[in-house]
Amino acid sequence: MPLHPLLLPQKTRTARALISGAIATLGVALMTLIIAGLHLDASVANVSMLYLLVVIVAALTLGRFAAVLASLQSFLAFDWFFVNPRYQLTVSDPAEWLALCMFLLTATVTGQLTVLLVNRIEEREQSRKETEALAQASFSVTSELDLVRALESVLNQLGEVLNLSWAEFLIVQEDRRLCVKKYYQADSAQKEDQQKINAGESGVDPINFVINEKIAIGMGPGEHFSKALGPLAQGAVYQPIIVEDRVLGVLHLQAKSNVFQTGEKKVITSMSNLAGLIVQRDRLMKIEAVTEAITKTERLKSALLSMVSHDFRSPLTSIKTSVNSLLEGGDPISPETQRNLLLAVDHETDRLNRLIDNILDLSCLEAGVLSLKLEETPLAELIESTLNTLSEEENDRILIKLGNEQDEINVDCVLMAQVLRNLLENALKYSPKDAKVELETFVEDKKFLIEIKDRGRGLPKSQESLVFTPFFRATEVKETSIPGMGLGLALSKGLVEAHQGVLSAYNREAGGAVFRITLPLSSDTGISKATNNDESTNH
Amino acid sequence: MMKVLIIDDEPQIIRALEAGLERNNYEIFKASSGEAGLDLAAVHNPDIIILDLAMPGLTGFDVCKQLRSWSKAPIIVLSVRKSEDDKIHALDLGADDYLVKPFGLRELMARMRAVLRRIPSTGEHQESVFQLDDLQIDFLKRLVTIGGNEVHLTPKEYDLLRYMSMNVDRVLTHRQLLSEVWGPEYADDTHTLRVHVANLRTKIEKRPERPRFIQTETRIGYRFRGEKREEELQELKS
Repeated sequence: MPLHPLLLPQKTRTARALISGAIATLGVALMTLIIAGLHLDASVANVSMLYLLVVIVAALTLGRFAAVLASLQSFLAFDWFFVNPRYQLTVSDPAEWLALCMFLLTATVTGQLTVLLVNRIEEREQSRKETEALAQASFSVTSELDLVRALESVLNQLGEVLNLSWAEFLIVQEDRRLCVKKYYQADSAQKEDQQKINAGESGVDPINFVINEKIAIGMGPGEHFSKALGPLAQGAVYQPIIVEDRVLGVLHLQAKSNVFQTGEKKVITSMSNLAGLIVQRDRLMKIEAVTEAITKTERLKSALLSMVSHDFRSPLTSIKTSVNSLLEGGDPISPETQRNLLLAVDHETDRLNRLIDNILDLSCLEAGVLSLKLEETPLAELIESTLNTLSEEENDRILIKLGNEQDEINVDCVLMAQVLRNLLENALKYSPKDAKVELETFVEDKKFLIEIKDRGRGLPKSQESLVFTPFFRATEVKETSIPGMGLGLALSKGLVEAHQGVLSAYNREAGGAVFRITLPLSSDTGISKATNNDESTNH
Repeated sequence: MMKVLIIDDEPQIIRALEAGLERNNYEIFKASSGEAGLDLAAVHNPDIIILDLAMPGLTGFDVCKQLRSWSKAPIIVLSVRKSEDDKIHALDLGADDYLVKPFGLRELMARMRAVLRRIPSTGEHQESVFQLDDLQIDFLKRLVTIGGNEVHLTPKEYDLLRYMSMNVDRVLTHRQLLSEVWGPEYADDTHTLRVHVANLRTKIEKRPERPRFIQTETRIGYRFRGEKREEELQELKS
C-alpha cells in the first residue's frame, strides 16, 4: 500500500494503527473547532456533512481503522457539541436521534467504501507495476545475452516491485556457484552479515536444502520442515529456480520489513521462472558454441583427410621419384638432370611446408585458438615481411604501389604477411608467366585498403563467393596442372576477419581478379607519430 | 679449415648438415645433447656453433647462456616456425642469428659466412669510415652520404644507423637496439623504434618496402645486411 509507508514508514502494525488513530482524532477535533469557531452549525443546515469529509479523508489517507474511528468520533463529537441538548450524549428530539444514527451509518459505509476503493486502486497499481516489471524483465532476457547482466536486470526489476533490502541469484554451475547479488540500500550489508551468522547456527544451509529438496522456503504457510533449518531471518525467501525438473539455482531475497503478500509471492515465482529461462538459455548457448566448434573441426578434419590423399601425395610422389632416380644405378645421369631433379625435390618440400603451415593456421583459426599479436606496424615493414617470404623470381613479378609507406596499420605482422603472401602467390599462380601482379594500398572512407590485382583467368563465373570456402577449387582449375588445395584463400579470409577486416574478391573488366583487404584504420597515421622531438639534424 | 660444432638431438639433421658442410670445407664436430655440446666446445674451441633450441635435458637456451660466459664463437640457433619469443630469448642470451626449420643448406652457409665475417661488435679499434655499397658513414664527422649526397639524419636516427652498421649481418632484437640507442629504460618501446627505422629507411633506402640495408626480422628486430640480395647481384652482373 503506497500511501502508508509514505506517511508511516518502518513501523509495526500496532504502532501504525495508533498513529493513524491519533491523526484521525486530531482531524475530528480540528473539524469540531472550525465548526464551533465559525458558528457554522447555526448557518449551515447539515453540519454533519463536514464530519463526513473528515471520515473520507481519513479513509483515503489512513486506512480502514482510522476511518471507523473517525466515524465514531465524528458521531460523538457531533452529538456532544452540536445536537441539543449540547454537551450531553443524550438527544432530545427523536428526529435528531434518527439523523445522528443515519450520520453514523453513512459515515461508516462511506468510510468503508472509500477504503475499499483505495485498496482497489493500490492493487491495480501494484499489479500494473508487477506486469511492467515482468515485461521489463522479459525484455531484458531477450535483449541481454550475458548471463550476469540479464540476471542483474531481473534483480533490478524485482527491486522496483518489492520492498527488498537485498536479493541474490545463486546459479549452480558445473564446478562452482555463480552469485549475482544486489543491495537495494546501502546499510543492508551489515544486516546481511548477521543473517549469515544466524544461518550458520542452524546447521543446515537453506540454499543446499532448497537445491536438494526442490522446495521453496518462506513462500507458504506452515512449512513443516522449518524446524530442520532452525531459525531463519524474518522475511527471507529461498525460491528454487527449476527448469525441466532440474534445479538450476536459487533466488534468495530478503524483505525489508514484512512477510510477502500473496501477490508479491506471485511476482517472486514469475521472476524465478524468468531467471530459469535465462540460465537455461545461457547453458544452451554455451553447449551450442562448443558443438559448433566441434562440428567445424570435424568438417575440417574430414575435408582434410579426403584431400590429403591427393594433395599431399602429389608432392611426395614427385620427391620420391626424383630421389629414386638419383639413387638408381644404371647409366650415369647428366649433372644438369641431377640438378633439375634435386631442384624439384627442394621445390616440392617447400610446397609441402607451406601447405602444412596453412593447414595448421586454418585449424587454429577454426578451433578459435589463434590469438593475434596486434602492433602498430609501418606499412613498408609489413610489405617487406611479405616479400621476404617469396622467392626472388616471384618478387620480380610483383609491382608495389604504396599510398604512403609510413602509414601504420594495427595488425599481427606475421599473420597479415601470410595473408598477403597467400594472395600474391595465388595471383602469381593463376597469371601468365610474363604478367605482373600489382599490390596497391590506399586509404578510402577511413578504411585502409590493400588490393592485389592480377591478369589471370579471373574468378569462376557464378562461383565468386565460393573461392573462400576451404578446399574449394574452381572446376576449370581442377583440370589444370596448377597445384593447390584451396586452403590459402579460406585461411586468408579467416585471418583478415580476425583483424576486424573484410576480404573480398571481384573480377576486373579487362580480365583478371582483384582481391581487396579492407582494414579499419588506426586511430592516427604514422605521419603524426613519425615526427618526433629530435627534429634537428645531426650537424 | 673452419671448425663447426653442431648441437642437435635429431641424428638425421646432423647427418645431412655434416654431409653438406664437409663438402664445403668445414670441419664438423657433432653433439646430440647440450651437455656433450658444451664439452666439445671446451675441447675443440670451434669457430662457429650451430645450436638447436629444443632439446631434452639441457636446452639450447641453457647451452647458449653457458657458452657465452666463456666463448665468443658465433652461435646460430635453429628454431621452429612461430616461436618468435624463443628466438628473441636466444638472441638476447647472446646468439648471433637464427634459422627456422626447415631451412636450406645454402641459407645456412650464407648466414655462417655473414657471422664469421663480422667484426666483433665491441668495436675496440673501429674504422673511422664505414662503407657499404653507396652508403658511407663518417663516424668522426657524423656525416652520412648516399652516393656522395649528404643525408640529413636526426641524432637518434644517426645513433641507430651507427649501432647497426657496427653489427652488420647480425640480428639485433628490438630490445637490444632500444637499450643501446635509447637506454635500458626504453627497452620495451618498440613503436618508437619502428617509427625511427621507417624514417631512416625513407632517407637511405631506394625502396623502403624492399630495403637494401635495414632488413626487418618480423617481430624480432632488424638486421643490417652486409651482402646484397641475389636479385641485386644479378642486376649488377647483367
